[in-house]
Amino acid sequence: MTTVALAVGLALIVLPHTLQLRRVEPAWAAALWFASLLARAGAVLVVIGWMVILIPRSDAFVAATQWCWHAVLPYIATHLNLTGHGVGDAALLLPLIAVGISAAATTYGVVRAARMVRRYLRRFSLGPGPRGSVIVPGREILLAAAGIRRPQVLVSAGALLHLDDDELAVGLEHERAHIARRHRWLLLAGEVARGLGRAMPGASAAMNELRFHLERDADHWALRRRDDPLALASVICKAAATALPIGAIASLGGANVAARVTELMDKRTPTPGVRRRLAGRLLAVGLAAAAVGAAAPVPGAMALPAGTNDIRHCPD
Amino acid sequence: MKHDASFKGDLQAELMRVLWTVGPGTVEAVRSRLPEAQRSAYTTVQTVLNRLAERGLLERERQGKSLVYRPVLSEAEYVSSSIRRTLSSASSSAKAAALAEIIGSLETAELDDLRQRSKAIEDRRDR
Repeated sequence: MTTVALAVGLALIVLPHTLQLRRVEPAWAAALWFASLLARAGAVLVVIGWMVILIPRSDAFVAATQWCWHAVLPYIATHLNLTGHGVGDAALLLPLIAVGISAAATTYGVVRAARMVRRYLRRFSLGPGPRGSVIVPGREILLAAAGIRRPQVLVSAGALLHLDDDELAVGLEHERAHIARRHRWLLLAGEVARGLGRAMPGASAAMNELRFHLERDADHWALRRRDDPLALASVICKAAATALPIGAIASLGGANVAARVTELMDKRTPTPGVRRRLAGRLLAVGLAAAAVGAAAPVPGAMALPAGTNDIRHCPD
Repeated sequence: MKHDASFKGDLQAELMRVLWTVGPGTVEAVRSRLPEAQRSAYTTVQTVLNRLAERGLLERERQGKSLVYRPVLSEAEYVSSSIRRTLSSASSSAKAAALAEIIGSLETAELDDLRQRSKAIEDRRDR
């Protein structure tokens, strides 16, 4: 059972990097990358769980905890209260603390950014815009879905002034898609999973791919409501053309926007059948369950009897 | 039709510039301040001003028999890019999770590529 779970976890981590997911329906691709991030987080927790069990049994650990530090380093060990037990406890807790801090820092960063957006809107919002959006200052073309608990579509004055009716309508539909499809929760969960699985190679690339496929999903959702891929491609290019140099941030997923524009220019409205959509959702649920299953051995490992973590103390 | 929409995009910006310069005004007052070369028909200017009002950039107020158009935002607010400044201290991943933008983060080379594609898209939309 554990072997199967490990095989599934490993497959979820490696497979998305080898498959051509940019040709796949975005919901499927996003589900795979999200599952890959969960599997990474699960794998890190499994490794920590095993370390908690295996390290106390290793010779090095036994030597370190049984070593009478105060006899070898009389002044420093006494002054710093350095004991074998302390070193043993730290060795067991450090990886857990490091992962916990990483996940907490990621979550705090997202919550802080969401709070900044809320404060910004309270201070700078210019009033209601088209289709329930909020107008914000700025001549650059900015269309964004902002906020976590009560998301809103932001539209800049520059977008209202420089986009034609078709571009504005399809651009707003794209942002409404992020809200309607609850992408923010997937992004938030993905960021936390990335924070947990940061030690695993490819975690940031997986997060960038998840973001990319959620953008594609929003594109497809918008095009099902307004069949105008060229107008959407045009908004993306116009937004890029007015982007200030300070807004151009190098990222691992740097080729993503051009890939979206190419897809929009080459392809007309995707209309997946009901069966395909259902299969996509089933796959998403299955993959999420598999990823959770891969992490399942951790609680089991933690629940082992205390005697298995045998830290032997040196005599006083 | 598409050409007309793009032309109106330019006219929209010009009309806002007039309103920021001279303050609130009627259709005729705004039209008379347009440069000679860009002075469109009364109904065209009226249509574009109404479009700007529907988008939330102008307020309309009836004064006597005519409507007076007033900008909702100042020119200083238009030129500011306060959202990027506000979020500048947030990490790019936190920013991306809290603000799903239509373009997201870009590399400089990609910006140039997209600017070039923009022309090709305009050509295809005009067809």
